[in-house]
Amino acid sequence: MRLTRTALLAAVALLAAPLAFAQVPQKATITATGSAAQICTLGAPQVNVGAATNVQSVSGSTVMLSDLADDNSFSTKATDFTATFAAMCNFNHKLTVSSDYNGLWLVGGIGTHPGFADAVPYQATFSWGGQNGSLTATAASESEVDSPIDVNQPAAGNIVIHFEVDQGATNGGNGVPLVAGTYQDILFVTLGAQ
Amino acid sequence: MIRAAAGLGILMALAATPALCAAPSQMLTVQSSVATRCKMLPPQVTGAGTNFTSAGAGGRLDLTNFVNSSDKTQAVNAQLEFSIVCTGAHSLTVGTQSGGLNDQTAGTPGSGFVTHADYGLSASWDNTTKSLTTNGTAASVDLSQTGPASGNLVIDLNLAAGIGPLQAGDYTDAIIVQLNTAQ
Repeated sequence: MRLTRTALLAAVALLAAPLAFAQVPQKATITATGSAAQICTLGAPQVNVGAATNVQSVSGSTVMLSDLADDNSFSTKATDFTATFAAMCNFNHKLTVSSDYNGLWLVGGIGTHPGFADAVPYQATFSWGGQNGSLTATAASESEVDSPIDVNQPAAGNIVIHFEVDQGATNGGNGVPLVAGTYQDILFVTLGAQ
Repeated sequence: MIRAAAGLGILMALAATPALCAAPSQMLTVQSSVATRCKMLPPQVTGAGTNFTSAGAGGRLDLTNFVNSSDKTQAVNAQLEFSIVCTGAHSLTVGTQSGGLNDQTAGTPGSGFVTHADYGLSASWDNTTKSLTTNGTAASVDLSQTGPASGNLVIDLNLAAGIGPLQAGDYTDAIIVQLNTAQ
C-alpha cells in the first residue's frame, strides 16, 4: 500500500504600502487554502473465527480452514466466514475483489484421477459504500477472476466480505471426493480510481 | 513545493500537482489441508458352489461343493469385490492367514489322505493385478498406491479340482484384506 499525502498552505497578505500619511483604519487580509489529495486507506483483514463455519484459525492475512473434506462423503464441507477491512476513500472510487486462482485448488496438483476432484468453487459477496458485489470462483480453470464495483461517493467504514463454500461443491461435480492435499486461493482487495 | 510571496495588491495562489490516487491492496489467503481418507464396503461375492454370509466388513464364504464323491476337491472359482475409495496414498494388502485350506479338527492325517488344500488367489486394484498360490504358510500381495484411487478391489479365488482324498473335517483359511492410509 502506498499513501501520498500533500497539503498546501498558501498565505497571501495584502499589505498596505507604507504611506507617508497613512489613513486609518488599515485593512489586512490573509487567505488560507488547502488541497486534499485523493487517497484511500485499507486495513488488514479481520476475521471472527467464532462466528465462522469450518474455520480453524486466522494468522495474519491467512485464514486456515479446518479439513475441507467430510469424513463420510470425502467431499466438500460447507464453510463460511466473514472478513472485514477498515477502509476509507475520499473520492469516487472503485473496489475490486480478485481471486488469484478462481477457486480453492490443490497445491502442486498430482494429475488427473477419475472420480476425484482437485478444486473447490466458492462465492465471495461483499459490501462497501452502499454498494454490493460478488465474486464467483467457479473452479472451472485455474485463472484470475476480478469483480469490481464503482462507488460514486467517498466512503469510510468496513469493507465486508462473506466467503462461502457449499457442501459437496467440487470441480468434479457435486459430492465428488477431494484428493488429499493442501488447497489454497488468494483473494485481493484493492481500492483505487474508477 | 511551497512558495510564498507578499506584496501589495498581489495575490499568489499556491497549488501543488494533484497527488496520484493511492491504490491500497490487501491480501487474504484461504487455505485448507485435506487429509487422506479411505473407506471400504463389505464384499459382494459371486461364484458357483459358494455361499457367502456377510459379517461386519467381511464375512464367511462356504464352499458348498468342496469335495466330490471321490473325496477330492471340486473346482471352485469365487470372486469377491470390495468397493474402495482412497483420496490419497494408501496401503492395501490381500493375504492368506493359513496358506491354504487346512483341516482345523484333524490331527495327523490318515495314510493316503490329506488335510490341506492349496488354492490360487489373484487380486486386482487400480490397474494392478498380483497373484499368489498358497503353500502352507501365510502370504500376501501388496497393492499399495501412491495416489488416490477408487473402484473395486477384485479378488479371485481358484481351487483346483482333484486335491485329495481329504480327511474328514472342517477346512478353513482366512483371507485378510488390509487397507490403510499411507503413513
